[in-house]
Amino acid sequence: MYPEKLKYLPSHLWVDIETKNIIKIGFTRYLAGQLGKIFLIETPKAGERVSKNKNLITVLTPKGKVDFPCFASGKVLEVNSSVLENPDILISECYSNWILKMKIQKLPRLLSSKKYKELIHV
Amino acid sequence: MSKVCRLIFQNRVLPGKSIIIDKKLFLNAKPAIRIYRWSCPTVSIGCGQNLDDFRNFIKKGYKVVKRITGGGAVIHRDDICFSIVIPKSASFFGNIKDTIYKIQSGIRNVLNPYIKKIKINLKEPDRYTKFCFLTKSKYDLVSLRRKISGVAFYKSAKAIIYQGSIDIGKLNFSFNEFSNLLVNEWQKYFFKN
Repeated sequence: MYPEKLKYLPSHLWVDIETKNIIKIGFTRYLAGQLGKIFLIETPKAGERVSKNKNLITVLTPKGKVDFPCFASGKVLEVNSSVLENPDILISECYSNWILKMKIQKLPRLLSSKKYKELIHV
Repeated sequence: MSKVCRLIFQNRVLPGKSIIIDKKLFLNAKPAIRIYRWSCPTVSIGCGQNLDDFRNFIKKGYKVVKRITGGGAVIHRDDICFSIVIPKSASFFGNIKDTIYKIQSGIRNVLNPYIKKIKINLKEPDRYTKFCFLTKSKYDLVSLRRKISGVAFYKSAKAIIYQGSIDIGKLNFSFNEFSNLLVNEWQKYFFKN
């Protein structure tokens, strides 16, 4: 449910650390369950710089809208176009579909799988 | 959530003003419950909807406003609406589904003696329409084939706001009586530490 090879943010994003400051991010199973279905996902474009605490991802679901703030300043290297075209795969296959590949200045404090499960009371 | 929660009851409020109040409460990011009715026939559309799709309502004399929350368009006449702001500090901040279930449970408890077979729908909808009350989503409050209440949300890093509409039909509640009953129910979930 919450792979140990990944790290987690309290905002329910998983983080896959490729190198020291290059990461991929996606939605956790918990978040996917909360959202249920996704109509639309908005992200910065590849090459765009992003600032900490500014909005990074916006998701529109049948019932609501969720903004995900940026957890670290950096640059978007790549956007997974398949999730923009078919955002529901973030619900059905949340760990095999990343959303953004980013180069960040400094890794934020990340949670282990165990700590994340404690956070969501699993 | 904190035991201190701002309560706002507004029997009739102008549509534009209502939208501004909710936006301010949301940006303020402090616990708040607002229960209100609209001063004139209004259509509130979801943040992802296009105003151009609802121009025919303006011709019919409705005010059309855009909510900060998602969901479908709601035609407001005599319904009672609510907004609940929950700050990040609340332990249940991230648990959207559970919170919607609790909001609807409170409404169900108030209306249970008056509306037959009122229950929380646990099925996913077959289809989504552009109108909230034509789509019976999971956790909507329903009675037989009628939708009684729907809830939408907007979550940012600092707070989450839930907005909803309750179709009380021809029930003979005074606005204040109904609002107080509702808050009494919700306080079980939202006012405790």
